[in-house]
Amino acid sequence: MNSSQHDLSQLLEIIIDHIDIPKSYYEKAAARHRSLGEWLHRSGSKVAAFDPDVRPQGSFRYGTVTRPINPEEVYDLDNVCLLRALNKGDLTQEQLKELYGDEIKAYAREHSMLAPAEEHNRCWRLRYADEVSFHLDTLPCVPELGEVIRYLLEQQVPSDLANRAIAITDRKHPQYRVVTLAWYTSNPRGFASWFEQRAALGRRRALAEARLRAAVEDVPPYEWKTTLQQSIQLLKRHRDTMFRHKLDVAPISMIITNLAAHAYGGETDLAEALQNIVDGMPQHVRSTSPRVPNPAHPAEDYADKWSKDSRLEKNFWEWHAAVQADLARLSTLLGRSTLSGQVKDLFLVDMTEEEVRKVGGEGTSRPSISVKSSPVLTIPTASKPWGRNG
Amino acid sequence: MVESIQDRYARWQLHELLRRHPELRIVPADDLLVLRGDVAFRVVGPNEEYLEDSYRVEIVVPLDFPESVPMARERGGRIPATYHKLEEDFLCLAAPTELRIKLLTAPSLLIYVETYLIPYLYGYSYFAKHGRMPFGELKHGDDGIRQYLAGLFQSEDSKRAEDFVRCAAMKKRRANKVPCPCGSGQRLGRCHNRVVNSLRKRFGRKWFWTEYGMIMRSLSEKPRKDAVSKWLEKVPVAQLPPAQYGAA
Repeated sequence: MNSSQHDLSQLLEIIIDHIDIPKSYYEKAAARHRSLGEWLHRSGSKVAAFDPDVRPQGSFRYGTVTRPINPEEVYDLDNVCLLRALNKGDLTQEQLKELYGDEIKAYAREHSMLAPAEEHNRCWRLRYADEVSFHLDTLPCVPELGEVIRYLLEQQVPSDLANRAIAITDRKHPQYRVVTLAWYTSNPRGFASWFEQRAALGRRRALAEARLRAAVEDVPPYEWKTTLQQSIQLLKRHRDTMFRHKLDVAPISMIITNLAAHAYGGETDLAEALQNIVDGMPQHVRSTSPRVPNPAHPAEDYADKWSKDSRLEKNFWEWHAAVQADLARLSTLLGRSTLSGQVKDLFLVDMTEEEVRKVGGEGTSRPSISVKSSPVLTIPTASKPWGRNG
Repeated sequence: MVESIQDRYARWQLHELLRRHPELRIVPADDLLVLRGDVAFRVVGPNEEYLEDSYRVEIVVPLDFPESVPMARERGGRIPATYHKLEEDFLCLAAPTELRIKLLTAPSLLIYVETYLIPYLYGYSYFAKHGRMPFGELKHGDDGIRQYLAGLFQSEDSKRAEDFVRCAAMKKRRANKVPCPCGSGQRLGRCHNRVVNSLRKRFGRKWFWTEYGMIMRSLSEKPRKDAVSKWLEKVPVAQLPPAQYGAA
């Protein structure tokens, strides 16, 4: 590792300090999932007999949550509730959704939620009344059948991931109210497991470098703080900043998370990891559908909306071009007086004076970059300008 | 197969542009590529005159570039409206046909910025310092368009220079019978045929048809009806395409 890379890593760590959330938020999120799981298992619960298993999903599970730019913004919690003792043939999707919904509504009432539980196409949403605003999307599902698992195995999905496939309810499914085996398949648990395997690449190396034989398994993945997780936080924050006026058409976190995990090689230096991730992401976008498949369920395309709205793909590539250029720029700005201004522009992060000193940008060391590092062009002749108005 | 956006941006050298001009930032926009920020440069111009400067600009790139050309605006309030500008404050970097021709053969945003935008900005810095233009300038309005076209077709007389474009849009055998737009009184086949033929071969008749349509739209004063135009009108014209740059 050269020294400028070391300095860049240090700068990136500083940015992460600003965009990371307190550990207590993760703990609070974990407590929410536990509390819901206990509720579903209590005596008197209508679903207790079906052996519900609540597992967190999403960025709180991956350890990639970033502070929202707008402080009013709500944190999204996700979980999957698998009713292990049920099967697709036992009931209709609607019956499962409502059976589960009754329990969720009762939970909302008992826990003085801001509002009653809200039904979405696939999940139920709970809005917590707390000092930290959360909402929790909880997805009821049943285990997927053996033939679907076998099909996934044929698609080269490793068995530990394929076995996590689930059957979900969807109000838009044509046979929502009929007993049928034709439920939609999904595999968020398989994705999470795959993501953790990718992150573990960096964790193993980091532990080996630190000569730690820590109880690896005891620490939940969201606490690993691997360079993969940190890189995703930086990429998401860069995206939030670039698209702060157009958030509805910004590249979605799941695409960034998926591609970053693919491109990650377990680098233990943050700057090196981020650079390799950014450079490697495009290779994992397929030119035909599914463009960005779930590795645990290849038919599930995280970029399925790209074909419906061309702005989404365009914005993804523009964001990627921007983040690539901005990363290159940051390393040239180390030790320059303009560094903190650029960090503010790119990440909406206000570095403290101490942090600026830490990365060598004391204001006087090296002059501003813009003109002095601009290309020198020799232009003996050029086009003659024209104008419409005489 | 339709070119992907990723490939298109690579062909336009977007990444190289951002690398060389890191103060330019992509601003998300629906159906355009928009870049905003500072373009800084150090230029050794004519007579070894060195100038460095930086301008705040906005560049708007239509997604069908290079069929349509990018447009640039200066956002720092330095360049007055009386300098070389188009409608809506867009900078007029060169004669429209020149920009379209050059960018068609080199469809790169880096070339757009370094070959057109920066020389223009350098030109203004130079003008502000010396009171004259470093590279000369075209006349404003219609005369400037014709002046450029006359230069392109190597004609001394620019009065009917747009007719050269029309000749280049015609089949060779037909065009050669037309009176030469340079006003020599000879037919084209005995006068400026070489330059017309070589440009026709290079860009194709279809391109010149489109270009002719755009030129006719941008000329505010339509040409007088005379023998040449009457002659030319016998040649069937496809519907004129819409003008594709700001001055529609």
